[in-house]
Order: sequence, then C-alpha cells, then structure tokens
Amino acid sequence: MMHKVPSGGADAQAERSAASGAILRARNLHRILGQGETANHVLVGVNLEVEARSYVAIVGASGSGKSTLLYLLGGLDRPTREDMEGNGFVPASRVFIDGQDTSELSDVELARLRNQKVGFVFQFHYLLKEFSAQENVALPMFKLGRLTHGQAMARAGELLDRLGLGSKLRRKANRLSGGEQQRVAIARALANEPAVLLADEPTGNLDKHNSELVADIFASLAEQGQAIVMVTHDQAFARRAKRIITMEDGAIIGDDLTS
Amino acid sequence: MLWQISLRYLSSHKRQTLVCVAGVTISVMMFLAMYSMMKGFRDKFIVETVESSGHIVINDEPRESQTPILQLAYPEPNALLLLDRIKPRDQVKKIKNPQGLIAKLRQLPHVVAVGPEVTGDAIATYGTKTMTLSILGVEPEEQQKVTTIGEKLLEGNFARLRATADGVVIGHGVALVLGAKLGDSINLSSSTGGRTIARVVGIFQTGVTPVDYSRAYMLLNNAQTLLDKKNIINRLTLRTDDYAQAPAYAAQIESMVGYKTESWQESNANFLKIFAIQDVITFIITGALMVVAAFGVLNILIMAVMERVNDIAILKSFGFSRRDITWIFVNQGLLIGVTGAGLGLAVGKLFIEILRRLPVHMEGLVKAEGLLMSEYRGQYVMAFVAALAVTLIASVYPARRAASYDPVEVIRGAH
Ligand SMILES: Nc1ncnc2c1ncn2[C@@H]1O[C@H](COP(=O)(O)OP(=O)(O)OP(=O)(O)O)[C@@H](O)[C@H]1O
Ligand SMILES: [Mg+2]
Repeated sequence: MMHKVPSGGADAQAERSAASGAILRARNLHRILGQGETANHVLVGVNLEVEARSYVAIVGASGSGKSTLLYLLGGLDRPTREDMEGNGFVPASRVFIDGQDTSELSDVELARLRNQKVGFVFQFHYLLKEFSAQENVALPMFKLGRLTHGQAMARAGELLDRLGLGSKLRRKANRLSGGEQQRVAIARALANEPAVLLADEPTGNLDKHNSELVADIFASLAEQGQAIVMVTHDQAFARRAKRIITMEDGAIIGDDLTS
Repeated sequence: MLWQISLRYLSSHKRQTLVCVAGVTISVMMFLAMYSMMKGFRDKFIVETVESSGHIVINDEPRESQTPILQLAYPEPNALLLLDRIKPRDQVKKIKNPQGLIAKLRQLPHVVAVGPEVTGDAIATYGTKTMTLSILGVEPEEQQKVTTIGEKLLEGNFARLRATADGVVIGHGVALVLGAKLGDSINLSSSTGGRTIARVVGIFQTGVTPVDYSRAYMLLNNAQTLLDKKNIINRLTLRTDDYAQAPAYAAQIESMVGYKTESWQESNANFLKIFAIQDVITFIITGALMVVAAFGVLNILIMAVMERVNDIAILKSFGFSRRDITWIFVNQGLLIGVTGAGLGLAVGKLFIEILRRLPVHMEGLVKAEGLLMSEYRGQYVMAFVAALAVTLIASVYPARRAASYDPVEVIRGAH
C-alpha cells in the first residue's frame, strides 16, 4: 500500500526541513545542460527532502533527469543560476547537504563536504586498478585525514569483511570479479561514515545474482540507519526502498512511501 | 598519500618511466661532460696564456683611437682616401725613460712585477732550415717574475741566458722545425742587418702552440744589438695580483703612462670570443637534449592522464581537490626529474673521470695529454636545477589538464 506525500510550497518545505534536520534538501533545483542550440533544461524546479535514516529510490524513464538530480544532491555538480533568457530562478536553486548551503562553498570546500558527508556509488565501479581492494576503500579516509594510515586500513578491512570480501583485502582491484568490484566501491562509499549514500544504478552492470547481493546490502545498510538515495531501473530493487520518487521530464511527478 | 598514488602510477609503466628517467640522465650527463670539456680547455688556454705572456703588456705606441683627420672630412665609409707623398717615419719607437717608468709602475698597488723587453723579428738558420723567430729580449730574473717561463723548460735552464754570453732559449716547436738541440748554435739575422750566432741554452714548452713555434728569448742587451735597437725598451710586461682584474688595472695604467696598455683579455679577445661562442653551442646542444627529455616526460604524463580519467573523476567525487590531482601528476614529473637528474650527476661525474683518463693527444691551440676536464660545483648545481626545472615545466600542462576534468562529464561519458 502506498501513501502520497502532500507536496507543499518550496518555502513551506524549507521551514519544515530546518526543523526536522533533513540530510539532503533541494530547493527549486534547475539544471540546464549544454549550451546554445543544444541547451537542455534538464531539471525544471525540483524540490526534495531526504530525512536521516531514510531509504529513497528514484525511478523514471531514461533521460528524465535522475542522474542529474543525484549529482546535484551529492554536490558533484552545481545548479544552474538563471534560465536561458538570463533571468535568475525564484527562489534561487539551492542544495543543502546536512544543513550546509552548498552554494556558499568554494570548490575545495565542496570537495571536502563530499569527502565527509557523501558516498557515491556509480554503475561502473571506478576502482584504482593499481591499488588493492583495501587501499581503494581507505583512500577517502586518507584524504579526510582523521585516521592514521593503520587505522584507516583496519577500518577498510572491516568494511570489506562486512560486505563478504574479507578474504580479498589485498587483491588488486582489477583482479576482482565485477560483483566484487562493485561491493568494494560500496565499501569505499561508506568509508567516512557518510550522512548519505548516493547510488546511480548500482546494479546496472551486474548479473541477477550480484544485483540481489547489492540489493541485500543496501537493505541491510538502511536497516542500520544509513540514509540512501539510489537511482534504479530495477522495479524489484526500487520497491525495497521506503520511498519511491518518480521523475519525468526533469520534474518529480510521484513521491510515494512503500510499506 | 598523493605521493603514493603518483608512485603507483609511475610503477605501473616501469619501462616508459625508465626510458624517461634515462632521457633526463643522459641530458644531464652530456651537459656535465661537454661543459667540463669546454671549460677545461678554456681554463688551460687562459692559464697558459696568462702565465706565459703576462697579465698586462705596455707597448711603445699611443693607442690609435683618434679617427684620422681625412676620415673626419670624408665620413662615408667607402670613401677612397688617397694620400700622396706621405713619408713613413723612420723614427724608432721606444718607451721613453724606461727605468723611471718601471720604478713608478712597481710602486702601484696591484703590480707584482715588471719586466722590460725589446721585441723584434729575426731569421733563424740552422743547417738548411730557416724560419722567422719572434725575438724577446729580456732580463731573465725579471722575466721569471712576470711569467712562468722559467718553469716551462723541457731542457736547459732559463737562468743560463745570463751566464752564457750568446745564449738563446727557443720554443720546442722552433727546435723541432729547425732540428736544433740543446747546445747547438743557430744563426740569427735581423732585417736591419744585425746578425749573431747564438747557442741554445734552453728549450721551453708553454703548451700554447703559436708561442712554442715562434718565440725565442735572449738577454735584453744581446737582443738590442741583434735588432739594432740599442738601449731601447719597446715593451713592458706586468704581473698583477689578480689576472681577472687585468682590464681594469690596464686602463688605469694606460691613463697614467700614456702608452697603449693591453690586458691579456684584450690581446686575446678573439679567442675569448670563440670561447663565448663555444659556451653558447654547449648550452644549445645540451639544452636541446634536455628539451627532448622534457618531451619524454610530457608524453608519458599526457598518456598517464588520459589513462586515468576515470580515476581522476572518482578521486574528485570523494573529495580530492584540483590541487590534489595536479600534485599527483606533477609529482610524477618531479620523481622522474629528481631521479634522472640525480643519476645524471653520478653518471656525469663518472663520465668526466673516464674522459679525463682517455689517452688522447691534443695539439691545437693548446697542447695537452688527455682531455682537459675542469669541474666546479656550480655546474652540477646548474645541471640539476635545469633538468628539474625542465621536467617540472613539462609536467605542469598534463597535470593541469588532469585537474580540469569534470567528474560529472567523465561519469556521464562512461555510460
Ligand atoms: N551535456 C549535455 N547537454 C545537453 N543535454 C544533456 C547533456 N547531458 C545530458 N543531457 C540530457 O539531460 C537529460 C537528463 O540526463 P540524465 O542523465 O540525468 O538522465 P537519467 O534520468 O539519468 O537517464 P538514464 O536513466 O538513461 O540514466 C537527458 O535527456 C540527456 O540527454
Ligand atoms: Mg542516469
């Protein structure tokens, strides 16, 4: 059974989130990709909040703007400031990550925020092939610099162990199977205990068995309170989330709670 | 951590990295070797020249600096100036009151020694051999203070000029051409009709070929008689406390004495110019080698960047900044540069020592056994810094390009 979440005005939503402490908040998000003739208004004013501990799936047709939204939510991309006529959007497009207005941050500060608060998983694993599984997972911790080298490696080992890769810590990334590589990538996204895990079609390159493995991992992470926002074309996978957001033509057309 | 990533990246292309390092090493080595050789040759030439010809020479002529009167009237450079009935002046040139002048010069602060000389040409005949000698009449005691000629004798003794009434000390080249040996008597005659039979009491070798093949030393008095320049001193040779300062001292002395006073640098300006050109050539050749090495670095880094686009995107996605990415690639250039240049210093030093020991017989402008290699610490510093700078410059472009990749575009492109 599904419930419709009532959608109020952007300002009303903003006030609510300040009180509730949403982990992610998008206000009137616009994104225009390309320039001139090829310019494409990909997101047309998306408002969205993601609460702590929530597990959200974003679905929608190809080209509806799911990835674009995810990159913006994770601070990997920045919203467009004005429309094609040069008029600023009202209210201004903003993304808040754990309460922090990302528009106020420099590129370096935004990178640091991603390092601390966001964990990305993509369709492709993007592991550094010269490094072992354990080192790949430790890299974001090295960058953060809170742990010593030894501590970071130990934590990386634990994370991999939890994902069933305890026996392959020292294996070079390019000598793991596709499913194993994707699990290493998930462990890496979790390295710095991110406020939210953002996954763009994490099972897109995997076979049925490995896809189910990843879906199980996500479910168990969500159960432990990890906030997750994922994009997927897999209906079954999406239904395991607590909330499903449906996109079409750069806008949210459905926002449903699963039960 | 950045260094670690750089190192891993480099070691995943060991062969290309080694070739790159070798390129830098070779360029540094070649620079060191060429520079040492050029400098060794030049140092030798300078020392031999300075030591055998003195630091400063005062000639018995005014400096021909004034433009001739006719040229003032017809300044066009190609004007044909014809002077009718100008009589060459027969007047014998000389330095006036040389003893007084020598005493005055000796008082000067930087002057160490002054040697009076009379110079002129004479024809030497020994058996069937004949050649023109440039005669230098000297006081042997003074001459040994102004130049190191006393130490350059292969046979005989310079001081014997004084003891032997008609002695002559000839260059070893002169001895070779004439076939004369120590103790042989050679005939000398001058253009003014003077002639004498002189006994070879010494054979010298300065190492400066033109000198060794033309010069003969005689006692001042004997030379004056032979050259028909009774009591005439037409040249004073000076030794100063610092040969590098000779031009300044020479200018000072010239303004004081009024005779044309030449430092060794001025007399050898042509050679010094050649050396300067040599330096430029050395820098161009070794500079070109370094540029080639730098292109190697540029090439390997551009490849590395193109290969790592995905890595760059993901590193940025989890928090690496542009600067971090830049350093990952600049570090690779630095590692190649430092390793290559460091090895280059060691191999270069080795190469210099090998060249130094090569049994090469040289007899050109200067004569030497083995290649003359002269080193100084600065050349090592220069080579290292230059190699490092060049590789650093070569790594900046690829590194900046790496840093400029937009992770979103990369990640979209991969799908
Ligand atoms: N550089 C660009 N210039 C213009 N349009 C672009 C550019 N990149 C992407 N787009 C367009 O933006 C739209 C949204 O892309 P996005 O990747 O967000 O879609 P998606 O919902 O993730 O699709 P998929 O399910 O296929 O991954 C698409 O229509 C795409 O063609
Ligand atoms: Mg997508």
